[in-house]
Amino acid sequence: MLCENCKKNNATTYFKQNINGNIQEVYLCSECAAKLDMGGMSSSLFDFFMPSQFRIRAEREQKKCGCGTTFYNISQTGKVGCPDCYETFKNELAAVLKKINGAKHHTGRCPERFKIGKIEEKKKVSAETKEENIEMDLRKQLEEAIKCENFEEAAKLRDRIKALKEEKGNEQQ
Amino acid sequence: MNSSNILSTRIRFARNLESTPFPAKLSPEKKKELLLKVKDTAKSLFPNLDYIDAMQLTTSQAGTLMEERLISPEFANKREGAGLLLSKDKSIAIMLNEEDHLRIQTFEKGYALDKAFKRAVETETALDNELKFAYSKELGYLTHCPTNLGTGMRASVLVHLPALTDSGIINKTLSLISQYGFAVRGIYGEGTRSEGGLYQISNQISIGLTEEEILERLGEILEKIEENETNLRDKYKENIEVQDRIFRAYGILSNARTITSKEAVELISKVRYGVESGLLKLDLENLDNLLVSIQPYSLGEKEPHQRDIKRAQIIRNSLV
Repeated sequence: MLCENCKKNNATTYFKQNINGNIQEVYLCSECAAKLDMGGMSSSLFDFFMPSQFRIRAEREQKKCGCGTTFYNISQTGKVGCPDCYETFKNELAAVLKKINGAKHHTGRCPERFKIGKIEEKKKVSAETKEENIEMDLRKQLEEAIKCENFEEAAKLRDRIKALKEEKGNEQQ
Repeated sequence: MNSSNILSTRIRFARNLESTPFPAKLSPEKKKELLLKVKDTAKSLFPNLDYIDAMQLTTSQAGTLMEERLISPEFANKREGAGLLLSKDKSIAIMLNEEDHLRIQTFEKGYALDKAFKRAVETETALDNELKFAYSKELGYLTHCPTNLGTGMRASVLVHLPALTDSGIINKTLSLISQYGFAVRGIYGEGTRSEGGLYQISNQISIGLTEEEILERLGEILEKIEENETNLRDKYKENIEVQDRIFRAYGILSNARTITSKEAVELISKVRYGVESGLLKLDLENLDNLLVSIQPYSLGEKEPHQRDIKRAQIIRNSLV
């Protein structure tokens, strides 16, 4: 079983705590368990279930972006240190970004050097949706044909859908 | 849309150089290096841009630029290690080392979102080819403050809404605007108050929508506001109290010997209302310029009382 905090090492320690009847359990690796132990058991396990606070404490000691910023700095100022911070603290910032912009993705302009990839991606997406649309269309027609007991037509449609699926399968391979 | 209600349009892009700490994290030497790099690149691409070292600016010069809305109050107050690239006609102003490495801004008179956007894109694209702005596929353009992520764009217009303001309906309108994801600020942007029924309306959301979608939404919301303002103006067109306020304002402005900037802005706003309603025959552009030239720094007079005298004089002369 993997450590529930870092999700990297094997979990070797089991914590259980009962706070006002609310039982909390967690499996940790020895490293994370040691970190958790520092602030004293009772409060630290509580912190663990408030990931932001737990992380802030952990980051204060360890993780630093190339620009020298820690996640603690960011949580204090609300602003990041350099463009790379967004990658360095990707997980830590996820909750913050969700609050600010609803975890939305960028859909606007992009630098010229990113454009080629973007156009291809768009083409791929639109081709996929096109195929799906064709298949949906055929399925509708098939349903109609069955309803009208037009079995000859239904058989043809079924074959076309089958052929389309096979084509797709071959492409993916 | 009757665009005479809209005094000016601005587009700004927040941009940063790849793998370079944001200005708040840069040492004075590194800030200088960055200024040089951006300045040289920009000047080679756009020879009509003048470079202004922010540290060489006096408080009054910086204040004047702020009153002209070319720089932010933040930039005017914290000029250490900052710079400004300004086109001769003042339609492009790029703040360097403000909150972000670059704040590319384009300005147009009146309502011209598309035109300002097009120019901002041209400027930004040329600079990006040389400087390589920090960008991630998911988050878009990477900025110092996470609230600017995505397009890094803020589109804003300065609108004059005297009828909505006088009637008190404006509060309802403003809360509606914010529900649509747009912000209302004072004349000089963030943290400033509205004066004389003048509001700056800009997009708050910069991620999840394309630039065009943001502009379209802003256009839609402006059209709605415009409609409400026009309806109210029509309703009060024959109202003698409203007319009285407009003509009194004109009377004071054309005769006062001393006037504070707050009073002047309030009265110019009323006169502007009068011109748009066809009650007064004056040049609108002249009035709009007056709104800037009577501001404390632009007057260039240090002593407050002397400044009020000079202000009254400038107004009288321009209304003749």
